[in-house]
Amino acid sequence: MEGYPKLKKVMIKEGCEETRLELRLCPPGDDLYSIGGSGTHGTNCPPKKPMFKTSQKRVAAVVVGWPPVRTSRKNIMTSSYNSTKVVSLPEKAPAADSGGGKKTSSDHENSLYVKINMDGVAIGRKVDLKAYDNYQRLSSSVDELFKGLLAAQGDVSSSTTKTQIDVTTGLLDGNGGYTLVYEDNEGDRILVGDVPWNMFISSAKRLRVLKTSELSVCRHWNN
Amino acid sequence: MAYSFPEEVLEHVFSFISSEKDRNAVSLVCKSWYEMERWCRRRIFVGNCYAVNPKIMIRRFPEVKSIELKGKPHFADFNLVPEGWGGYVYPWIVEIARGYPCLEEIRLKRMVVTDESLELISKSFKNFKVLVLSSCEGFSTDGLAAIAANCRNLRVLELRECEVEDLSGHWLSHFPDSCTSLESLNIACLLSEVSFSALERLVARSPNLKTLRLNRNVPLEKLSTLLQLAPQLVEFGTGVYSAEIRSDVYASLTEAFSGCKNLKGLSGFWEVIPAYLPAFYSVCSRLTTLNLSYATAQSPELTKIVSQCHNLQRLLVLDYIEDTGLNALALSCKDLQELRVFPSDPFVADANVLLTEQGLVSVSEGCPKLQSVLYFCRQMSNSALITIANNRPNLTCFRLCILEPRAPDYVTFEPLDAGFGAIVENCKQLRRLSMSGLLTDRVFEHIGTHGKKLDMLSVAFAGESDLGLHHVLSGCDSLRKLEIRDCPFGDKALLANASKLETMRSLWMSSCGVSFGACKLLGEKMPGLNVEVIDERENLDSLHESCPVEKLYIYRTVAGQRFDMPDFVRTMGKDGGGGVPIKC
Repeated sequence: MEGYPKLKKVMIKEGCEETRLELRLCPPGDDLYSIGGSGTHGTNCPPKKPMFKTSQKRVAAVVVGWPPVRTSRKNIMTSSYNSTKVVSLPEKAPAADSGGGKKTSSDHENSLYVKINMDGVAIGRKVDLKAYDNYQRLSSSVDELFKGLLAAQGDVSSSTTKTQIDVTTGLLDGNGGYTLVYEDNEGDRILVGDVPWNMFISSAKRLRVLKTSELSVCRHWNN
Repeated sequence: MAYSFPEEVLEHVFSFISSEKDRNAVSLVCKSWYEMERWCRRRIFVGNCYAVNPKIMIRRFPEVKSIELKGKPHFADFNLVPEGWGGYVYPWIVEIARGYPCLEEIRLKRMVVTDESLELISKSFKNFKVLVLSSCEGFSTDGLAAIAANCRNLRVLELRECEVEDLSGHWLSHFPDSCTSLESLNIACLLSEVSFSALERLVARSPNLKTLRLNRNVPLEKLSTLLQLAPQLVEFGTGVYSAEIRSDVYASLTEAFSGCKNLKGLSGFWEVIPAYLPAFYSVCSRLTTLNLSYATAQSPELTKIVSQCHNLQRLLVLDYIEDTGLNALALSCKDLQELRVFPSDPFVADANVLLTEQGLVSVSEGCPKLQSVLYFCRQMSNSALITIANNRPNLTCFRLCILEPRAPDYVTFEPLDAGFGAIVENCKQLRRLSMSGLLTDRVFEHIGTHGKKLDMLSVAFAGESDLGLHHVLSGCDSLRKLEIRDCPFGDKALLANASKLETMRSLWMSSCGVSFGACKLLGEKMPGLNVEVIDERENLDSLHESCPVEKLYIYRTVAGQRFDMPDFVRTMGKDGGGGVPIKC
C-alpha cells in the first residue's frame, strides 16, 4: 500500500514502568494480531490468566498514545499514587515526596516495606522485607500477621467469618491452604521462593497470600 | 419594513438568547441586529485559540463577562502533540485584561497557563468570579496562591486534570479570611498535600460551597470533618478512600454522609478499602453522578453500589465492574444517560477482568435513556454493535475503544464495518463517534451516507485507501472536528475536499500518508486555513515533496498564521493571513 507507513518501532516509557513491552508491526489486513488468546469465545469461557510467570506475559503492541487513556489513568492497577506522580510529570521537578499518603517501598535505606494482602481479609498489612534474611523467616512472620487479622475479622465484617484456616504450613511449598506470591516491578505474580533471596528483595513490590485452590484456575470464574 | 422594534426591546429579547449558535445567527440578520447583538453579547466561546485573535474579539464584542478558550487538539490528551506546540494563554490574558476589566469568568481547556498568566488574571479583573482550568499545564501552586489572595469575590476555582507543579500546599492559606464566596473548589488533580487546617477553615466560612473535590492526600479520617462543616454540598470528591479499619472512623463517616441531604454527585475514591464503602450507601439513592473511575474495588462491591443508585444518570467506572456489574446497572438504573468504562490494565493484551461486549449490550437494553457511551474492552462483534444500535437509536455519543488495534469481530473475524455502520444508520442524532477495531473503507461509506449530524469523529488504525477519507469529508454535513491516526489516507482525498476544511474547526492527521508537498499546496491554495506540519525529524524544511509528514493539524482561522511555534512546527504555504470572516 503505497505511502502507508508501518507502525513505528518506538520504545515508550511514558505510562509503562519499564520497557517490558514487545513490539509488533501490524500491516493492514494482516492477522498477526491475536486477541484474547486462542480459544476465547463468548463470555462463558473467560481467558485463563496464568498466575505465575511461566512465560513472557502477553502485552499489546507499543504505540504512542494507544490505547487513548490519559496519563492519570495509566497506572491504576499497579501503582500507589507516588509512581503515578513520577510518570506524569517528566519535565518538571518531581513533586515533593512528603506529607500524607502512601510512601513507596524505597523510602528508607534500612527498611523495605511492601504491602501484603491476604485473600478474604479486607485490610492489608505492611512488612519490612529487610527485617528477614531468608524465606522461612518471612513465611512465619506472614503467618503470625494474618492469624491475628483473621481472628479480628469477625469483629468488623458482617459476613460469615472464615472457620479454622491453618495458615501455618505450606505457604511456600504449595501444600497448605494458602500460598505466598509476590508481584514484581512489572506487575507479574510469581511464587515466593523461586529466586535467590536478594533478587527477590530487589524486585518484589508487594506480597499476596492467595488461596492455593484458586491458583490453578482462572480467578475470574464466578461461583 | 417601515417599523422596527426600539433598541431596548430588541436588547431585552436578545438577553434570552444564550447559545452561541443562536447569537451568531441573530447577528447575521441585518446590520442593526449585528450592532445591537455585539454590544449585548456577554459570553464568548473560542473553540480554537488560534482561529481568532483577541484584538478582533474585543473590537467586536466590547462588553463580555465570560470567556472560554480551547488550545491544543484533543489528541494532546494522549501525548500525540509534542511539548511546546503552543496553546499559550498569556497573550490572550494581556489583551483581555486591557479590553475587559469587568470580566468575571475564564474557562480554559488544553492551554498552557503560566503563573504569570494567573497573577495577571488575579490582578486585572476586580469582579473576577470563576476560573476553570481543564487539562491545562504550565503553572504552579504559586499561581494558585495569587488567585486565592487577590480574587476577593471568587466563586469557582476548578482544576480538572491539570498538570500543576506542586511547590507548596500552603497556597490555600492565601484565601483571606474575608473570602466567604466560594461555591466550587476542585483540587482533585493536585498531587501534594494541601494544608488541612486551611482547607477546613475555608470550608467552614463558605456557606455557599456546593462542590468540593479533594485531592488524594486528604485522608479518609478527615472526610467526616469536612462533610460536617459543609452538609449542603451537592458534589463531593473524596481523597484516597482507604485507611486502617477503625469503627469510630467508619461510624463518623457514615453519619457525616447521611447528613448531606443534597449530595447528588460523588467522585474521588482512589485506592478503595471495601470495608469503608458502605459508609456512603445512605446517599446512593439520591446520586445522579458517580465517578468511580479510580476506584480499585472489585465487581461485587461495585455491583452492590450501583444497585442502590436508582437515580443515577451518569456513571464512570473501571472495567472491574465486569459484565455482571453492568447487568446490575441495567436493572437498577433506568435513568442512566451516560456510561464510561475505563480499562484498569490498558497495556496488557490478556483480559484481567470479565468485561466483554455483553456488558454494554445489557446496558443498552436496560437503560432507555442512555445517550452517551465511552467503553474500553478487549473484544467486540458486529452482532453486538447491531444489537446496541437497535436498542438505542437515541445515542448521541458513542466512543468504543477495543484495546488491540485492528481487532476484528471476535466471532466471525470480519471487519466491524457492519456494526459501526448500524450505529451511524440507526442513531440519527449521533454527534460524536470514536471507532476502533478492524475497519475497511466500507465503514466510512456508511458514515458518509448516514452520519449527517456527526460533529466529531475519531479514527485510528482504520481504512484502506483515500476513498475512506473522501466518504467522510464529502458526506458528513455537520462535521467540525476530525482526528485521524495511523490510517492509510494520503493526499487525494484531502486535496479534493479542501474547501470542506473551511467549514470545520480542525482536522488532525498523524502517522498517515499525507505528503509534504500536498501540505504545501493546501496551505497555498487555502488562505483561510492554517496547515501546520508537526514533524520532529531533522531538516524539516528540506523534506522531499513526496515524503509523508508525521503529523498534520489543519484549522480554519481569521487570525492568519501564528508566530509562537517551536522549530518542529511549520505553517505551510503562508505569505500573509487569510481574510475570509468565518465564525469559529
